[in-house]
Amino acid sequence: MRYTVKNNDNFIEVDFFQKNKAGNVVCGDSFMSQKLKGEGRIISVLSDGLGSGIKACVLSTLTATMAMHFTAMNESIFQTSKSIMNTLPRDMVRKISYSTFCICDIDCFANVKIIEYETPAYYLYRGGRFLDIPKQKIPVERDDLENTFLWISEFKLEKEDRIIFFSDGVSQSGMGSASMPFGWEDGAKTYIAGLIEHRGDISAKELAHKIVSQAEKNDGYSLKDDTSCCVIYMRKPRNLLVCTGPPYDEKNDKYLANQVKEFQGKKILCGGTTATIISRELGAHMEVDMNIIDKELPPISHMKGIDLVTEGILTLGKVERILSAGDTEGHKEPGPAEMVVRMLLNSDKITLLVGTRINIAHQDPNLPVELEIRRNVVKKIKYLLETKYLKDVEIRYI
Amino acid sequence: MTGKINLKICVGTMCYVMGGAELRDAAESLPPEVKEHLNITYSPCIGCEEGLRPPFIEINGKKIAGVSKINLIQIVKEEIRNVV
Repeated sequence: MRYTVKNNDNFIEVDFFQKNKAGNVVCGDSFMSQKLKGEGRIISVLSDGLGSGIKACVLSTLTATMAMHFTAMNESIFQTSKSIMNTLPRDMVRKISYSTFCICDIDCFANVKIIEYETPAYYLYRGGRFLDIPKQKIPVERDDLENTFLWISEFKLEKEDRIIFFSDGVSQSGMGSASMPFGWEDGAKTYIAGLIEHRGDISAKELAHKIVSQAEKNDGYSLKDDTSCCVIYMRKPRNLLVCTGPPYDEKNDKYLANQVKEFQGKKILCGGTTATIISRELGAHMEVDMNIIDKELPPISHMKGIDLVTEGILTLGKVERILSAGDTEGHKEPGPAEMVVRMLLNSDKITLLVGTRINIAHQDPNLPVELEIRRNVVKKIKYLLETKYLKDVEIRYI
Repeated sequence: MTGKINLKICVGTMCYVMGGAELRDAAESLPPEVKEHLNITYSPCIGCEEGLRPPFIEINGKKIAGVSKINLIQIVKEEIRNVV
């Protein structure tokens, strides 16, 4: 799951990764995240059910769903927690109804409210260090369990902040081992700080992935508990320009080249003719790279100042197929289309600059393959990026 | 003989689907005595021309249409003979 949300010219990226306890087919942790479009709010909930397997999964799903809906309706947290606890079924053995939760509610002004119940404390990483936000401690009245508290903290999210929260699978990973007898605990902080220091722009997706993988490593590659981690990252939007197709009027070649040159962000050129025009207008040398091979597609090229140069319609067709199938991860040897997909998904705001000159040769019925019309493929890609991957996409025709 | 013969193979869309995909393998597997005279490069688009059938190659600056893996070796050998 991954989406980015615009918030006062900043983007809030919410992503999450989890792995099941070794040998389990379902996860006992549940994560939900929702964007309330009208209010500009983002609510994310992580819940860890008692035990593991199906039972824990049911408990945590119930908890996360209720917490999500109650919070969205602005119900008070006391009412929310009371309803959750009264609803959860009692464990036959332990005679308690139990699951933890962490609710993170961000409003349109980036004010954050985090409510934690029995979960490992969240981390707030800002400006090179972890901040401790004062928390309000509220006792929870329940008859089956004593001394449990809700912890409420409120603060304003700033640019480049990261909020990290996780289930105890992360904080208690490695427990009992010689190097970390009491679990990972604050070692996680050191690990996270190290990762961010090494790569300041590490995405929420990647960070969550790395934390869970490290927890798995701590447990000797056999997780002792369901392990989940959610990262919320507020940052500048990442811009991407995809330029494909020659302009309708040749006089606009220069204009196109300038648009590409002046663009602030990453740049992809899709199309041999397009690339040739840009190369000619900008006086940039272009070289074909035969090392990246995809049997279905012509190779990529390199040009100074451009992040990726690929062939046009065949590559875009494959990009559309990959996006549509959702098969966007785990390519051992990424070809040109996979490289385009990766750049698209790593961006927030995507501009598709589409030349409208029709290549008559492409419409020849004698061709061994059917070549799509560029405009149609681009429209499909826009639709997929917007609906399935929640990107901000704009098409400009030239 | 002075210098090498520049062989540029187009890997643009049209050339690629009309058989250019095979030209790369064909060029790389030319006999060594032919290949040693060649400087093989690739281009994202040499430029289609109406009435001519892709795939295109450029050999020492001359554009040649309708190249296949079968006639590639003849074209190259002929050019070598001309130049040598």
